[in-house]
Amino acid sequence: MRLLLLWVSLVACAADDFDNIRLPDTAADLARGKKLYLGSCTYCHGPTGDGGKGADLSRRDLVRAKTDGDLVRVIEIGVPGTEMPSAWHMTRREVTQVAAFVRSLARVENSGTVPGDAARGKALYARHGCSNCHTLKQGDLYTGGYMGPDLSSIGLKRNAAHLRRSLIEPAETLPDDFVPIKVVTKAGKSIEGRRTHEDTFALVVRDFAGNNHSLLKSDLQSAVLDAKRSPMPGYKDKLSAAELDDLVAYLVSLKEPL
Amino acid sequence: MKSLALFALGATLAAQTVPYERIRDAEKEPHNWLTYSGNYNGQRYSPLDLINTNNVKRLKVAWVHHTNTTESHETTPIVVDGIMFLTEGPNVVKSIDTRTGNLLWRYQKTIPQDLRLCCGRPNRGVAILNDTVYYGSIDAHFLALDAKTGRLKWDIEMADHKLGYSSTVAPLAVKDKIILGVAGGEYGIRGFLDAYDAKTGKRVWRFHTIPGPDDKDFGTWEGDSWKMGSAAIWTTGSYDPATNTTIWGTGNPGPDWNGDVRKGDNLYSCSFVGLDVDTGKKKWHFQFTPHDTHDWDATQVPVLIDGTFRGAPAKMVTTANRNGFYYVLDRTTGKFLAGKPFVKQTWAKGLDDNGKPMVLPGSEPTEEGNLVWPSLAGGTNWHSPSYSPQTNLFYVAAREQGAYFYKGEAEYKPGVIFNGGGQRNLPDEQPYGAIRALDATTGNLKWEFRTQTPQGVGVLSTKGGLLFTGTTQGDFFALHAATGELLWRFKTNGGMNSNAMSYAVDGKQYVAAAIGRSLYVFDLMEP
Repeated sequence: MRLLLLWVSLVACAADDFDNIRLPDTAADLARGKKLYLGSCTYCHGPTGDGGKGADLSRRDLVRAKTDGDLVRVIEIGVPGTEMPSAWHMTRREVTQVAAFVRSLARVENSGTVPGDAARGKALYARHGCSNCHTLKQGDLYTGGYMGPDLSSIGLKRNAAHLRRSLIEPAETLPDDFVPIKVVTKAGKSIEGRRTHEDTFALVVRDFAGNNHSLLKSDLQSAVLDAKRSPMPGYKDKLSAAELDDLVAYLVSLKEPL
Repeated sequence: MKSLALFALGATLAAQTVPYERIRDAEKEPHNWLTYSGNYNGQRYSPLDLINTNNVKRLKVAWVHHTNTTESHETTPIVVDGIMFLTEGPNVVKSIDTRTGNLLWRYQKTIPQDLRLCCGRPNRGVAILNDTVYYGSIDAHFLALDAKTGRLKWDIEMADHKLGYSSTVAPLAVKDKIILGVAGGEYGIRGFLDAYDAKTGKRVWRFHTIPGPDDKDFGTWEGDSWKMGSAAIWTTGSYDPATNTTIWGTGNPGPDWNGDVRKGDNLYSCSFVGLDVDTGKKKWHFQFTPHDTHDWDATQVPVLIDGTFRGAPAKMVTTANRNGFYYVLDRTTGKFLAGKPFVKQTWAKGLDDNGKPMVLPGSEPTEEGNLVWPSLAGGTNWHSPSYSPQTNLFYVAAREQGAYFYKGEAEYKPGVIFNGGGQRNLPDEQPYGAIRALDATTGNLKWEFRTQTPQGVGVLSTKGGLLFTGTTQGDFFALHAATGELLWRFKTNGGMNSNAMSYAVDGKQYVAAAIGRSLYVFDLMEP
């Protein structure tokens, strides 16, 4: 009991010291950090850090942990108002070992070198009509279409390899609320678009003109989801290898703050 | 004049008390809901039929009680002669006049900031006995409140919250005792069930859910692992007056996913225990999942059924367990009678003649992750099942979902999370849920009503031939208890994570459920 109180007060004293933190980098520290991570963090963040219930930690620039000090702070104190709890059960040393392991999980390299030229990629984005379906922040305004995901911050969320894959085989990375659907009502009306909501009793379909159709399943003759098909065309044969590099470089550069 | 009349009505309402005999004989007053499951047998069956299969289409909202809670809203209200008692996480108890929806009193406990909790700060309800409301608080205290005013009578520490103890369970009032247990199964607590004298708050007995060195069942834990083996109690038990036995389900052993440090069967984790109410002495136990490594608590409400089993009269206790199997036990001995899976499960070949799972090799969590059905949330979870004597069907909210289970390091430190790994959902799986109706004595599936998402909601059955349940996506609905046909539904847009109940006032039946952050109360529209 006393020991606990003492520990809490030590943490309190050390709480302002996050700016000068240096993460350990020995193999033993990383191994220890991995073990602690597997014990306490995998439930939400997954064993390889690519998220689930918790945030994706496999990215280089973690939104709430730009610096190592921030990362240690987030682990040690948690994120109030969210499900991220404090790791008050770990010593500062253990927290830094976990933080070091979390940094080692980063596979999404947003700040490193990506082959290709972002400026040329931007031109390709315009020429191929990507904005017909995707929103981007241009100045203070968000412009573009709404049938595809908003790409304004895509460079913070996805790595270059993932974006390249999305361009070549869009169906492999289809987000859950962009799954194409075709429904036919009992009255014989056919509606095609993407499923934006589904529960036990209802469906909401957004058609290609942007109209929302709020439907009761009991009024439908059929509803066919096609999770293997993306409304986005694949660009494998539409772009040269160099052009693909350019477009990926442009997407990686899209980093509107979250 | 009008306000005087109302005042007189209110005064009359508040004068009611609930001696033990009223709860024991709850079927004599079907308009009330006197204990967590409606009565002692855990069936969550309302003997009211004013709302029935013929008129349920006319159900509409009577009133709504909004709350400020940001916690999962898991309470089951208790209703005594028109007065409702309910809780809200993390620390509020309320009394409401059900005729008007007016708040009669509100009690808020001051709770510490340094709670050790795995899973939010919910609470599942209160118990009432005589003129007192009893409440287990999130900091593992046991409180008594005056039923008329909400004034605190006592606030007793059951265990130290700094060591990971908490309480979320609705207590059970039996005879002159209040029985409740402690949560904290992810903190290496040593679980227990306490009985307190209802008049004085003095503890009468404590049953440790992990036997100590003096117990004949001691030794199913390697080394000292029994001292921090968890086996928490966080769902209300049942009571059989005929044998004076109270039956409770116990939680997972700790650390949850790393069984290496606690080799052995780990009794009485993941078990039902039958205890003598007067002494707290164990009469029997039945362990559903020996040496559990998937967090499959047996914290389901034991459902007591008197009927026939293979032609002979039987006093049974039934349950659909988180591990994916449905069980029928003899509740006088704890002996296994029958069992079979009610969801997809991949960890056991089946149950042997004694009900012990024949575990398949390779189903343990690993550092790399091991795919097993059901997931950590189980084939069902803590939400109440229901049994209808009308249909002889056992209704359970099922979850069809698998998961990768991971093993991590778990070093015990007092008051420190102690779970040893975790799980991860399958990226390509489309999990779903269902309300399933099982033959109560065989577990055979009679019908199912599928839901879009895995179920995390309880089931209420009624004499009106209805089931009331909901979804985590905000629907509340009624099914035909015999066929599973959808008869009525209502969209709240608030996720439901609780159990419905029913009561009647002034000759009118109501159905109530905590949904989203509110309590919804439904009644029939005039024809």
